[in-house]
Amino acid sequence: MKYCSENQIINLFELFNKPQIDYILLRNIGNEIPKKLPKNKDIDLLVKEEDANRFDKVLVKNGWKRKKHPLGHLPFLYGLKPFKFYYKEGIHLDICYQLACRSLNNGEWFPLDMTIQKDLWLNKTPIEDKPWKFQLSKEDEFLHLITRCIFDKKHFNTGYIERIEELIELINVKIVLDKFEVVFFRFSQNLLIKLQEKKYDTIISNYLQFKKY
Amino acid sequence: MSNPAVLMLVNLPTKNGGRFKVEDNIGESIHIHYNNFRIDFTIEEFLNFTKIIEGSVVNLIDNEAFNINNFDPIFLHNISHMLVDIERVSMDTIKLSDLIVTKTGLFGVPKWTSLKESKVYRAINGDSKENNKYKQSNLYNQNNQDRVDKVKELVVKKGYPFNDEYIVLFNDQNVIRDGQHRAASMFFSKRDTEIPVIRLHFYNKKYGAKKYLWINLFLPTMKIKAKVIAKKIINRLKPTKY
Repeated sequence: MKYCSENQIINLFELFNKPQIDYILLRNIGNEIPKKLPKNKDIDLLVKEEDANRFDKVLVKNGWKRKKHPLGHLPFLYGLKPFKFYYKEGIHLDICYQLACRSLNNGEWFPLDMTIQKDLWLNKTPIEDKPWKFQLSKEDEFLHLITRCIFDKKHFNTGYIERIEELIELINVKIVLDKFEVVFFRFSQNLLIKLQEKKYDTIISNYLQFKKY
Repeated sequence: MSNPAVLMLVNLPTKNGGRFKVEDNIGESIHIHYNNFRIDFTIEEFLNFTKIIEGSVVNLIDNEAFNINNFDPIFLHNISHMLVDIERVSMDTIKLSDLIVTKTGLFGVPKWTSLKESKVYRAINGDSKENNKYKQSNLYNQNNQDRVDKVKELVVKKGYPFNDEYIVLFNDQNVIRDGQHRAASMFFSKRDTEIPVIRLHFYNKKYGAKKYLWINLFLPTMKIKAKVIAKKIINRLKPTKY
């Protein structure tokens, strides 16, 4: 397998770090970034909407090309700003401006609750020893991974499960439950228990068949 | 707050140009939208409400032999416009090999065939090409093959009928109107056995299946073409006004 060079990735993040563009690395499943990112795989970033234009200019100036987002044809609901997709020398950048997931109805893109969006920026975690400067807080990353598995992928895959199991030991359960409440409503407690019991195979079917509300 | 897990259970136009929608907002509530109104239910309230609606349907049909529990609710919804034409309902038995279903024939033209040649029975036996191409409503996150496997598993485990729901035929015809998956699964597990079915008899044998299915396929196109040709002929015959 061909990997992107570490230097390429360091240089990429430098483009945003120097002009202090507000961004957060959304996830790094399998710790692929910066050393083991396979060619043509995405780096997923959340960019503050106010910095969207600056971010775009920096990339274009440095030879990054805009590409059609593979799932950008789906409707973006509730004022969600459409994602942008960039490409340069084997690296894809997948940019979103709000934490979103796909609706169960017709797979439209759907922003998570406003309280979650505000908290993302307040709670972002500074990183010292990596090319990127910020990542999601443990609780926000946990929520993000769970919504990815349930709504976007409709499956818990091994890479996600490994990271979920790392995070579940570190998260503040009360904070996570508060976040779950505005996404999963009364299923929140059941969901957390299922995650603690590692019953990944039954989570989605239990959620779809949940009746206690 | 907004819920990403909204399952649209029904979405239909109303007579005055609005919408009638039933949405399951998982973990939150069931919403019934009727034009500009929205009613929120808990699951328990919604299920009680559906019982009341079922009672109303039974009263409207006003036929003692009609037991609403014998039918798949989705099928009943699909034939709701036919229910007022029911003359009587009868229980019957039929050999599985006498049941008739549709199949895609030469050049994609549908034709009648036996259960053994049906897309579902062939899918059970590993030939899923036609069944996978067929567009149908399944449970959420379920594809055509998943549905075949799930119903087969249920029939093998619980037998037929389960949940008191029967395969449905119309009038004196043996065309399966509801229950092809169950019939094919029975044929797979029990071979050519005799099974109970429900026959809905309509006034004047209404809603009978046509002998040649291709007529249904081509008739609408033929009608449109005939209209266009007729218009052209009329236009030519009209005297030109100067």
